[in-house]
Order: sequence, then C-alpha cells, then structure tokens
Amino acid sequence: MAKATFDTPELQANQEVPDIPDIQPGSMAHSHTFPAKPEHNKSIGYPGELVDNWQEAGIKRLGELVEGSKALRVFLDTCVKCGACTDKCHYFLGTSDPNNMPVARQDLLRSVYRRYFTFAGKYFPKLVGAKDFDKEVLDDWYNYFHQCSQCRRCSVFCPYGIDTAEISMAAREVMDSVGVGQKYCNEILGKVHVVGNNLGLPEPALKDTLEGLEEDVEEDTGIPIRFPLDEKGADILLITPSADFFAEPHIDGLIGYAKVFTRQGRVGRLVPMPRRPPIFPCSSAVAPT
Amino acid sequence: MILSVVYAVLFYVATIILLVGLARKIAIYARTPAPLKIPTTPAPLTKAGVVWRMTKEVTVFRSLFFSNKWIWLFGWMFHVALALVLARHLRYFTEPVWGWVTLIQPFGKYAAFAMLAGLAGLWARRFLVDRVRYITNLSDHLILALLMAIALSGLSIKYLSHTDIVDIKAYMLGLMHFDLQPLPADGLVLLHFTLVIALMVIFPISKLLHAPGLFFAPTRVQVDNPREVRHIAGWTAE
Repeated sequence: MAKATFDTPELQANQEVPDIPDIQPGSMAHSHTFPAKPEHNKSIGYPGELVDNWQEAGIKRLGELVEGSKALRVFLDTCVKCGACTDKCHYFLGTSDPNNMPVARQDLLRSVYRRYFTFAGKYFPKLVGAKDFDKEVLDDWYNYFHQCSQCRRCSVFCPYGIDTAEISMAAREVMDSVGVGQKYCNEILGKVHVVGNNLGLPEPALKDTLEGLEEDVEEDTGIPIRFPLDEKGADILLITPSADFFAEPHIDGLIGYAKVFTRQGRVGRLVPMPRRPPIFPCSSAVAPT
Repeated sequence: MILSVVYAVLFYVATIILLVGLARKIAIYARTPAPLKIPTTPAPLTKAGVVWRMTKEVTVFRSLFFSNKWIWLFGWMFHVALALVLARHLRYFTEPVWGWVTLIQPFGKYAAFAMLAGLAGLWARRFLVDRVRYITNLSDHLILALLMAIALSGLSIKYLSHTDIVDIKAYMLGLMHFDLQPLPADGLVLLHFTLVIALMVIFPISKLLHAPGLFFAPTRVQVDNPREVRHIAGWTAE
C-alpha cells in the first residue's frame, strides 16, 4: 500500500459548527486494503479468486440481494442527492475524498444497480449516472466499500433513512461472491469455521492456557477456581472478548468471570466451540453445582 | 378538436403510467422482506411511536432539519408550497368547488412563489456547494428544471397572459367524466400541461420515488422491539 498523502484535519472541539473540508477527489483512492487469500475465501464458501464471469455473476448476486432486502431495494431507489449526508461521515471529514461521502459511496453501487435493473439506467445511462460493472468500478468498490465502518451515522441524518451500511454490506457480499474477499474479514471468519474461534487458537493451546490460569489463581487466592473446557450440560453462555485469552490486562477479566461464578456458588465451565460457528472466540458456560 | 384528443390521450396515458407504475413499485416494496431489525436509534419502542416519528418526518422533515438547515429550509419550503399549490388546483377538478379549497386559494397563489424560491435555492446548492456538485447527475438538474418550468408556466398563466380558465376547467372535468370538451389552443396552457404530463410519466421511474419510498424505509418505520417480539422474515426465516 502506498503511503497516505492526505493532511490530518485539525480538531474543531470549540466550534459549534464545524468547517467542512473542500472535496479532494481521489485522495483515498490508493487505500486498498489487503485482499484475502484464496484459501480464506474458500473456507467460508466463496470462490478463491476472481471468477471468469465475474460481471455476470456479480450482477446476478446483486439482483438476489435486492430481491431479499427491503432496505437495499428502497434505499437504491429513494436517494434524491440532496447532500444532507455529505458532511456526516467521519471517513469524509478525515480524508476529504468525495467518495467517502455516504451518498457518493452508495452511488458506486447505485450506478451499477441502475445500469442493469432500472429503466432509466438501461436506456439513458448518462442521464442518471448509470455505469457498467467493469474492472475500474470493481476496484473502486473494493477501495471505498472497505473505507466504511458501517456505523450508520449517515442513516440518522438522511431524510429517507438511507443506511449506507446496508449498501456497503451488499457490495462486500457481491465482491465476495465473485472471489474478491478482504483479508481481515475472511481470514477471521474462516478461522471461526475451521478452528472454532476468530483467533485461530487450537484447542490444546487454549486448554493449556486455562489450566495454567487455574494454578495461578489458586496460588494467589488459596481457593480452587475452575476454568473447565468443553463440558456438557452448561446452561449459561458467556461470550468473552478474544483478547481475554492472551493479552494483559484483558486476561484479568477472564479470571474475574471465573471468580464471580465461583463466589456465586457455581462451577464455571469454559467451553471452546471447535467447528461450531458463529460464536467466537470461545464460550464460558456455568451450571449449578 | 384534434388538440383536445391529443391531450386527452396524453393525460390518460400519463395517468395510467403514474398510477400503475406507483402501484407496482409500492407492491414490490411491500413484498420485499426485511430480514433484520434495523431501526435507526433513537428508535420508537411502539407502533404509535413509529406513527409519531413518521408524522414528524413527513410534515416537518425532522431528520433533515437536524442534518442541514439550508437544505431543510429550501426543501421544506418547496414541498409545503407544492402541497398548497396542488390543493389549490383541486378547484379545476371539482364542481362545485369544496369549501376548504376555496378558502386556501389566496395561500395557494402565493405559495407558487415560495415553491420557485425553494427550487431556486436547491438548484443553487447543486452549483455552489462542491460536495453537492460532485453527486449531481444530469437528471438531478433536469428534474429541477422541469419543476421550475411547471411553476413558471403556471405563474405566467395566472399573472401574465390569462387564459379562459372556464374552458380549461370544462376540459378537465370532461376528461374526468369521459366526456371530451374542446381544449383552447393557448400556448402557455399547453406547455403547462405537457410539462405536468412529463412529470407524471417520470414519477415512477425516477428519484421522485422518494415519496412512497420513505414509508418503506426499515430504518424509519420499524419498531425497536427485537427482544420483545421475535422478528423473522426473508432469509432469517429460512
């Protein structure tokens, strides 16, 4: 990835009405997040690499998504380009790249949708800004739909409630379906499917960590506190942040859960869930003693 | 007489396109499943709350108000003025004219100017604000031009070159009762009619679909009760 060349905007903490930056087209066009490896795409059921008939397949997938989502279907039709959302996205405010304005980000997909699914786009593409789904558009999709954190702030301000997250999720699904996956998402999801947790922690390693913890905690407190693994009959499911298993001070949180459960007169049972999606990273369950 | 027939055909075709096109779109929106609960926070917890939320959205453009005061000012001015102007026009389609339509005549007349001002403001933003300029397509300019031309031609008939409004009303009432009356060959009136017909035709295939679309946006019309009522639809029901 090339080095970013944009200026960091100044904080405007004391201003009631923030200054909105002038647009700088293409300032974030270089921001191309790492693509997923073929094995990661395949591990969650997508083609490993860009398929040959990707245009056709992508448009077909887009059609299916629109059929199955009222939000997507309505949002693709109702935008009037009023501009209310244009200064609401933190990605735009931070980069000045106009494609990071919610409406422009949506339009990357909307222009393709119009081209293949609407009367105006089929017969008067120039008039309504409809575009063929070509490699350049696909690259723009990859760059800019991964510059959306799907926070939905834009949907608060849109007079029609248009939620860019719905659009960027659809675009990512279309890209995945033709073999253009993103590393961070697909590698992690792949690990959930293959190993059983998002960190890719193998079961013996996790077991060892927890046994070590039991010893440490008993040494500290003199009380036997269990961190049991994979026990049946649990009736409470506790989903912990993944960092609890390997990072400081996060691991204190994990110790804390076990202490609380023991204090309540219960025996904690941590259950990692190998090959059982989509709960991650590992579950802790508690049953009455 | 040929003029009467041509415009009668145009009006009937445009009306069918408008009604069938809108009904089709609304049916599609209604039929498409919303698999997940995605109301934008702060979201109402009850149906009544949703009705109140939508009432505010439709009547005072609440979200837009908190979003951008200029767009709100121009947009709200245009829409309210358009509503008044449309209501005023009911007097050309009713006999006898309803009481409230008579009452609002003066407001409707001046609303046309507010409508023009609102449109001018919205159009100016498409040139003056770089962000809005970036997202503007040719069709966005054309729709503003069309609405403005409708308003200007209407105002011209009212204030510059009077037409025989009694004949026009007879023609419109005739259309409604399938009893064709002669249409006066008044250039401005024919222009006004042509533009309105164009608006009716593009309504179901353009961004004007925001009117029905708003009522189907899951972010606005869903009740925020996923814990109380299990929500399954579309692929979540599979």
